[in-house]
Amino acid sequence: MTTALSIESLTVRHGATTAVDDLNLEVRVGEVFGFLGPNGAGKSTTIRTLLGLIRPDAGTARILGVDMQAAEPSLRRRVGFLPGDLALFAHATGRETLELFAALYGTDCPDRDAVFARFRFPASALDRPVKGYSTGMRQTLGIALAFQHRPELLVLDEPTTGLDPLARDAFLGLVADARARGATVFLSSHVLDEVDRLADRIAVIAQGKLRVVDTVERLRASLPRRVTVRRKDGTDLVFDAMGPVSALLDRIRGLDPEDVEIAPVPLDAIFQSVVQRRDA
Amino acid sequence: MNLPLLWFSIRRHRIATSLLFLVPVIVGVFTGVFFPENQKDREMLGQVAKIFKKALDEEMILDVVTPAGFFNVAFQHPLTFLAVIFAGAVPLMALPSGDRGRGTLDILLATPLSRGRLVATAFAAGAFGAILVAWAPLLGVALGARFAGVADSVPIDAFVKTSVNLTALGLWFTALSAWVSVVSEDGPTAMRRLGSCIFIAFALQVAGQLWKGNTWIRSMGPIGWYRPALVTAGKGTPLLDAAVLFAVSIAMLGVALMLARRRRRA
Repeated sequence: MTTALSIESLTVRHGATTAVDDLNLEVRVGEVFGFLGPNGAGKSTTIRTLLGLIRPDAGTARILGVDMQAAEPSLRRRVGFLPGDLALFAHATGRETLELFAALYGTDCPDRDAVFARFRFPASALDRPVKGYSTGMRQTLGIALAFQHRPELLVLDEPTTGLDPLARDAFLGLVADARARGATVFLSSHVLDEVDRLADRIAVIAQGKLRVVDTVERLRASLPRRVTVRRKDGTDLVFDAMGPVSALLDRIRGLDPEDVEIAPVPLDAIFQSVVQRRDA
Repeated sequence: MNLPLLWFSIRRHRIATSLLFLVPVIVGVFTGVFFPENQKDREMLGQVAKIFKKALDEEMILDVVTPAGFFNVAFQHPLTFLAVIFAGAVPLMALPSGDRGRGTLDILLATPLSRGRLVATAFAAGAFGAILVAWAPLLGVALGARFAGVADSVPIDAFVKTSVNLTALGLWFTALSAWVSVVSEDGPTAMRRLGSCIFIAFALQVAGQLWKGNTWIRSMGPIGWYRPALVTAGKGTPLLDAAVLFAVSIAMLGVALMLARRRRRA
């Protein structure tokens, strides 16, 4: 199987509002897929529909080749999920929570210790009730719940919310490890920098509609690069350039340059361009 | 049913269940503390009971001057009813409706647990509490009768049958809680709906008692199928009453499971 996740003509309505509108998407096995969109774009609804938590009004969502609405619940053993608005059982300790979910997944959870080691999560904290955890600790516990049973597919909605920079790096390492062992990662995030570092391909959704799906490199190439030329007379010239590199180099050569800086197009520029272009 | 989740739910509500278990025990013990020891007090109490007999349907009032009648109070006390009802309802107000409102239901249903198994497990946790608390009055009566020195005069056999009947009543309200919880978007909404249902059940019972000769009104509600005074008097059919309550509980649970599977959103 080459497709880990496929969505065909998916439409989900919340009353009169269409949260997801005729969405089509395919994620290949082993890739890290960034799923981006502004607030209220329909990302979380798409994810919840994928996992069978919401029934769609039209279309299908398949995970590992199986329609989640008709699938046996045991299929979810192969999926790890971290919701965007993570809520945990406040009265339970971290260890009780982990053990409950390990029992529900029915696995040994071989990666649990590795996750906590990577996040430098104090083992003693696991014996405290979750209600006493900081936001970052709760998020780390949520990440451990998603990763601990070594799933084939990880569906992560805003996974780094509340994490400090060190924990964020730990998370990036965790995703890199998952990719290295062949897992597929479906990653929804507002932090474009981490999507930029991790994702093989991205999709941008806005107002429930899919705006674009492509590799980050190809999307970058579709936007002008910011070029800063320091001329020999000491003045700086800043301009946006598109098209073949040879033409750009010819142009720069004609400007009598002393130094040149060509900034890569940041992902947030791509994101804004895609969302605003279609809005206009 | 899922055993790890059942164990988790029971542990989650262990304090509430323990406190609710104590309520009928305390009622039973207090019954023993206040049991009138001399004949004069008993006769005076008998006069008070006669006033109630005139106002209410006679089958609900026993001869309270006897230990059997006096200790029957522990099985008919409103606190006993409420303790049994809430012991079954508390786990179901938390799961699924409470967890749906808090957002914890999503991570549970993202595991290999089906919606039907989740509701069945929550029902089992509620049933555990309801059964436990339904037998608490018997413990309270046993302790109270010993305290009053009338342990030999208390009809334990009849009280055991009454406890079976009370267990069925507890399961009826637990199944109702499952139904209400499945169709409610959060815990407070479920609690309000369940509160309304409990009020209607008590209202039917009171109306059936006050409106003499219209016992059918009582049989429209679940409490009408729980008649401890008749059982103690040796006239009731506690096992049949329990069977009726149990059958309706199974039917309500079946509807709750079907509704859980058909829900559009987890």
